[in-house]
This record gives sequence, structure tokens and C-alpha cells, in this order.
Amino acid sequence: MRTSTTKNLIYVILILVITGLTALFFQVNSNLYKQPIGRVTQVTTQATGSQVDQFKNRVKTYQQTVTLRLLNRQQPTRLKVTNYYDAAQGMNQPVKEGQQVFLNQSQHGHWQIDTIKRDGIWVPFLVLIAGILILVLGPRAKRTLCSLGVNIGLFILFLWLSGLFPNVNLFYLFCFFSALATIVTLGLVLGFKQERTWTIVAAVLTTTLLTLALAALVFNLLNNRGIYFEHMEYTSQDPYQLLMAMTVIGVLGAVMDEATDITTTLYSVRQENPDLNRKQLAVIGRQVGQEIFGALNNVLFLIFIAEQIPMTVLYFQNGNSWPFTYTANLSIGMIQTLISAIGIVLTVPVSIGWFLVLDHGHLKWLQQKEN
Amino acid sequence: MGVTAALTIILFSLMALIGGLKGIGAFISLWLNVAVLFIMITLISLSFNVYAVLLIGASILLTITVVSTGGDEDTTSLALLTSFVVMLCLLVLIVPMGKEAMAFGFAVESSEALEGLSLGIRIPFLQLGNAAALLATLGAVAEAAVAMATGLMALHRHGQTLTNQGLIAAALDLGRQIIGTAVNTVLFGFLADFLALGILFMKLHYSLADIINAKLFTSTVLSLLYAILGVVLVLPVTVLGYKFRERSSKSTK
Repeated sequence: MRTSTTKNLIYVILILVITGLTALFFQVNSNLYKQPIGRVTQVTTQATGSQVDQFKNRVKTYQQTVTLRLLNRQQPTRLKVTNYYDAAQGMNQPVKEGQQVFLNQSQHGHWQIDTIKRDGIWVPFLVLIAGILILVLGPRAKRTLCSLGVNIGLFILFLWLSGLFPNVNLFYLFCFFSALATIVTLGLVLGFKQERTWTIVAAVLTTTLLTLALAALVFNLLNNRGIYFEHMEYTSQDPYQLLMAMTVIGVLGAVMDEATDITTTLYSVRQENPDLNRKQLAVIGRQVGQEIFGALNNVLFLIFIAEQIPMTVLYFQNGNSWPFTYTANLSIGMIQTLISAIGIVLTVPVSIGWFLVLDHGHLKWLQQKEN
Repeated sequence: MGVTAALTIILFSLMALIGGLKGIGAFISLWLNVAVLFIMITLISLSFNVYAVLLIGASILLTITVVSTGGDEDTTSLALLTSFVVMLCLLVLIVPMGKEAMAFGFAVESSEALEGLSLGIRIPFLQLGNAAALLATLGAVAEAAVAMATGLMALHRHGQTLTNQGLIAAALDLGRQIIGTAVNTVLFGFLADFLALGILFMKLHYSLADIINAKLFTSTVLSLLYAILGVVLVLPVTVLGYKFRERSSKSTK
């Protein structure tokens, strides 16, 4: 017990040291960037009064005189810029001493602050969280981190592909991503050679396809009534494809989670009681599914909707009504939530179905072999 | 009939058909959560204190999600305790991190959506960003807390012969499985959220440096990390909560 405590203590110190070193690296890595970076050495902030909009929102406005030391340019070494912001800080933000900022220079040689250097915050935090994951997960950490890393890597690869081939159908592209991600995640976590891995892969892919087909059918039958594509954020191409692609990816993790639970339970129940008939197995599978699908719905609902809170509040403060604010900001998230919830429910019968088909076939084959 | 209504009807039928009473319970809990979140947004818009609305609303959301899974009293109370403690831990982390990362509000990528809107509102976007970040973690925290508490209480009941040490070891093993799958659920949820922005970044030919320092990118990454941390924290907090309860029930005896 004592040795494991000492080991853990050493481990905690190691995590903190690596996090600290990462943070330090991002303080001194300005030569890796093309864009000029300056460190704020002095700031004086002045209140410049207030600003009122037509909805009687009054905010105080400020002006900062910022002295910067340029870190990745020989000339000039020092410069002064002015930074404007208001108390709400919706777009422009104040800077503070010690912070690093990216700078732009206009054609007339006029400098201004572009954005704050943020990688020095989140990368060390990422390292810290990965360290905590390894500490808590112990022997399981390798597989979990591996599947996280591979999935993120795959996602970046497919994003890059979408940039490379701008005319390709986004939905098909990310369906392909989803299939790959499913196989890789389940294979890494459960083992590629396990029969149950492939039962779960079959269940996940079937459920996802079924759910999207159902959604597409509803969209078509109702002529997309009530889907406000024009209000989708950051749409650069066909918003219908984008919505479908978002839905596939969003529901995938939850469906994998649930299908794994159901199928793993069924395999272990089958092993302990080989005499159970199909009906009894189906009942057990259904019970496992019922336990979790409510909670899974809420996981996705909160992820999809929480992100919209700032924009929604902004709409209200700009004098918009509830119906219009809902239409513009929340309706897409709700549709995504509902489709995902349908997928999460459908996972139950589909997982049981695939288990029964594959398991039954397996047994028959064994029996034939014995005979 | 609109798409939302049609999907709602389909969802209800499927939940009742496949989930029975529990399915209907899950359906109701989803809509209760929708109502709570909408009320929270309204209250914040009416200039109530953001953190006060957040704490009260978040507690209600957690309670609805945990109670609706229909566990017994011991399991539910342990899961609730865990999720409240984890929520407070996350809030204590999110508030200073939000200020440090300055990854809240909007950026040039949002300018199309912001057309015609006045950004000078009375509510600081820092607080709105923090509220969004905390709320996005809560579903995952509640889900993991319920799974963990259910497993631990099942071990507790079945394993009368297990020594306390053995029980905790079994619970740790179970918790690690739960975290492994829950982390994936959260990851894909956030990847879906980021997809539109990611495609836009590619289309605009942002450089790596542009992306990793962008406000909107940083805010998504931080939200994802908070959610993963929340799920991970559920394991030690549940075990500590269980130990604490065992000790206090022994001392009252």
C-alpha cells in the first residue's frame, strides 16, 4: 500500500512537471509562428464613457494603451498599440500584462492586436487532463487514450479531406469517418479478434444508418418544414449535408456506449447460463438498454444546446421574441437531440437483434461441427 | 406538422414501445430538462445573476437526470452527491480558466450570424461562456455518476463476503470501464459541435497557428476537456462518498 502511495505521489509530481514544462514551452516558442507576436509589458486602461443601443443596453467602453515587446521580429523591438473594448466583451477583449498577443500590421505600417495567444493555455491543460486520465484509469489508460487520440486524428484527417475536396458530399464523407471510427474505437477497446467487437460494430452501423434513414424520410415527407437551415452557424456549403453529418458524428459515441453495454452483458449472461432462450436474452438486453438511454439522451442534449446559450441570450437582449429566438438558435440543436435520442432508443432492438443472429449462427455452426 | 413535432412523436412511440414505463420516464426527463434550460436562459436574459441561475438550474438538471434513471434510494443519493460535488469542482476550475483563456463571446467567423445584432449587452460574455461550458458537462457527469453508483451499490449488496478493500478494487475496475466508454460519448458529441466550424476553418485556409489560437476553437477544446475531467472525477468522488457514508452509518450504529 505504501509503495503504491509513493508511486502515485511521484506520478502526480511528474504530471505537474510535464504540465509546467509544456506551459513554459508555449511562453518561449514565438519563433515557430509566422505572424508577429508581442508580449504585453505595460497597459493603461481608460474609461471612455458608455454606449447605448436601440434596446437601451448600456455598456461602459474602455480604451487601453498597450506597450508591447515584439518576440519574433528584429524590428521594431517595442511598439505601442491602442485596444478598444466594452464591458460585455462580446468580440473585443482587454489584454493584461504578461500576455502574448498576435499582431497585424496594416499597409500603412499601423499595428494592431489580432488575437490573444491561447495555445499556451489549452495545450498544458490538455496535458494535465491526460495525466489525470492515466492516473485514474491505471491499466486501462492506454486503450482509452489511444482510442481518443486515433478518433481525433481521424477527425482532423477527414476535416482536411473536406478542405481538399470542397465539392465532395459532406454527409458521405463523414459517414465514412463514422464507420472507420467505430471499427477503430471498438477494436482498440475490446480487441479486433473478439467476436463481440464485430457484433457491436454491426449493431452500431445498422443503428446509425437506420436512424439517419428515418430522419431523412421525415425531412422529405415534411419538406423540411421547421428546419431553419438559414440559421445554422458557420455553414460554408450545403447545410442539409452538414446537419446530417453533424448528427451522425454526434450520436455515434452514445450508440457505441450503449451497444457495448448491451452486447457485453448478453455475451457474459450467455456464457454463465447457456440454457437461456432467445426471448429471455432479449428481455435482459432490453433491461440493460432501459437503464441507460435516458441518461445518454441528456448527455447529448446538454452538449448540443449549452453551446447556444450566449447567442440565445444575445438575441433576447436585442429585443427578439421567444419564438424567433428559438427558431434562430435552438431549433437545430433540438432536432439533432431528437434524432440522436431516436438512435439511442433504436440501439436496443438492433443490438439484441445482431447478438441473436450472430450468436445463434455461431452455436449452430458449433453443433454441426460436433456432429 | 413540423419536423420537430414529427420527430418528437416518433421518439415517444419508440421509447414507450422499447423502453416501456422507463422509456416514458426518460422521454419526460428529456423534456423537463429542455424546460429547465429554457427557463434558465430566460432568467439570465432578464439580467438575473448568471452564477445564481447556473447553480440552481444545474442542480435541478442533475437531479432530474439522476432521479429519472429510477435507481433505488441508496444509489440515487450517492449519484446525486457525486454529481453535485463534481459540478462544484468543475465550476471552481472553469471560472478562473475562462478568464485566463479569454475564449468566450464571438469571433470574425461568427460575423454573418451576428449581422444586425448589438453586442453591447448588459450581461458579460465571460459569464455566459462559463455557464455554457459548465452546462455542457452536466449530462456526462450525471450519466457517469449513475452508472458508477449503480455498479458500486450492486457490488455492495452482492459482495457481503468481500472485504472493504476488495469492494473498492472491484469498484475501481468497474469505474474505469465506465469512464472509458463515457469519454467517447462526450468526444463524439463535441466533434459534432465542432464540425461546422472545422470545415469553415479548412475552407478559409487557416494555418495551424490560426486554428489553435482561435477563440472559438479554444472554447470547444476547453469544454471537451472539462467534460472529460468531470467524467473522470466521478470515479474517485463516488468511492470517497461511499466510504464516507459507510463510516458515518457505522458510527451512528
